[in-house]
Amino acid sequence: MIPEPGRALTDLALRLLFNVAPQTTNTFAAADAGLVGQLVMTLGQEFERAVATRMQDIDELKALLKDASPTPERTRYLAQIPASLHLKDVNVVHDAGMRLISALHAEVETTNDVSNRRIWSFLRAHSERHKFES
Amino acid sequence: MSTPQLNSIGEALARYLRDAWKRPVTCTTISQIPGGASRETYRIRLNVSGESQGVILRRDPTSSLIDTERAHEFKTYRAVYGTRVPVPEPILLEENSPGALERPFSLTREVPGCEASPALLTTPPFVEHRSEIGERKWTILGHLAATDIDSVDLAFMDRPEHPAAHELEYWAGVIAKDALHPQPVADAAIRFLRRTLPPKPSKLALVHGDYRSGNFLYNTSGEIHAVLDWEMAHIGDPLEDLAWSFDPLWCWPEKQLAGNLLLRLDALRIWERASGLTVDREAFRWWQIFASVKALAIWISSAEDYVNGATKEPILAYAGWPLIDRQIRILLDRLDPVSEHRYAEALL
Repeated sequence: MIPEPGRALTDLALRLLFNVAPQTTNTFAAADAGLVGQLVMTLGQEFERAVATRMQDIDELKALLKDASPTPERTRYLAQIPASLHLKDVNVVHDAGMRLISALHAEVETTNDVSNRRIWSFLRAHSERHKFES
Repeated sequence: MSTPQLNSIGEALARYLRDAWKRPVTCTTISQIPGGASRETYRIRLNVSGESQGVILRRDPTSSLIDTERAHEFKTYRAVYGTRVPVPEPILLEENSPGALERPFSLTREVPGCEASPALLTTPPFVEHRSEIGERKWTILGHLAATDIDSVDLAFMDRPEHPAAHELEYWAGVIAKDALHPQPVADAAIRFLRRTLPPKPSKLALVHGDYRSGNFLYNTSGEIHAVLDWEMAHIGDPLEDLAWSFDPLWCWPEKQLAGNLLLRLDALRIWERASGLTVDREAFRWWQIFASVKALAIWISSAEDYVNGATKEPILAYAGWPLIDRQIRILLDRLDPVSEHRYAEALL
């Protein structure tokens, strides 16, 4: 068992990028190997953090929605938790929250500067948590 | 693709051309060109009645980054060929499917001795010629903007009443249709663009639709010999192409040189000189944000295609994963009221 799969994937990506791709004589295959290498590198970064970042997103989404004027959808969402810690289940709750925050943003962006800025700040933090180093 | 598969494409094309041209044609060499995400692209050397000729074959893939029609691009090549905007000579278009090559294809004359890779622009020997290449890049774009759309055959293109509104609704529709996850940054950008539509342009122009480093052929003399990839060409506002050419994604992770070639202000002045137009800065700010939304729409569509489509081309996954991440960061820099411009400089 490899204890840190994310790191192992990164090592495999480096192998593809710096050993396999340069030795490929066909330029199309070399470009393909390079792209696959970069994608495996991306996967390596995502592997370790995927569930943790989404759980943090869900917490922050709930904090924003809790402070908004209540609607049945928002109230239901505050009580929602992922069915399991499998990525598929976490994504369901994460995506539901992102849909609600987008709707809230549309509601407040021209009428409530404080809420608008809080949402932009969340979107910025969200993007930083999910970004890939290249 | 294996060598036998490549050779069978070359042989099928030679058979097709023998019938079409009524002359002896054989395929001498064939190789697949990487990077073409909207078509399969092959460099082919033919022997035609004893004479060696280089051609580029573009065949529809089973799945593509951009949903376009092959006839549209070919007709645009034909319209632009011979103007001040250099394009490869169009040779033929075959739309039958399944036909000689299973899927529709087009053939253009090869432009030899050039490079297209944007990465090479930052390495020797091309890095020393960046300013000349940049000068040519935005001069050609200015010439495209200056081209009278009634002087070339663009009858197959619609003339939108309000280009900005038309383009925005088209790409907003792509995002709505193809997004696999909610996109609150794209949603906010689209709302902003709808609230702040620019006026109609003073003149309509032929818009390339994907004018960036990577879509033209250059050499070490600093010359650009051909502008490629016209599949998204349309009639619209000439500022659209200029804004697209400035998107920070095309020089990622650097920010300063548009397309890794020139400072944006220098490029803008070259374009103004060549086009004879003056950039309306307020409208141009709108188009710069629009450019990032359009790019994001293309990456979102690629992700959808990778997940649900027939092909598993890595370029679709790459566009749909790291590129979505980068484009969202660029848009955040464009729209966040307290932006620190970490990934995109302030709008011009």
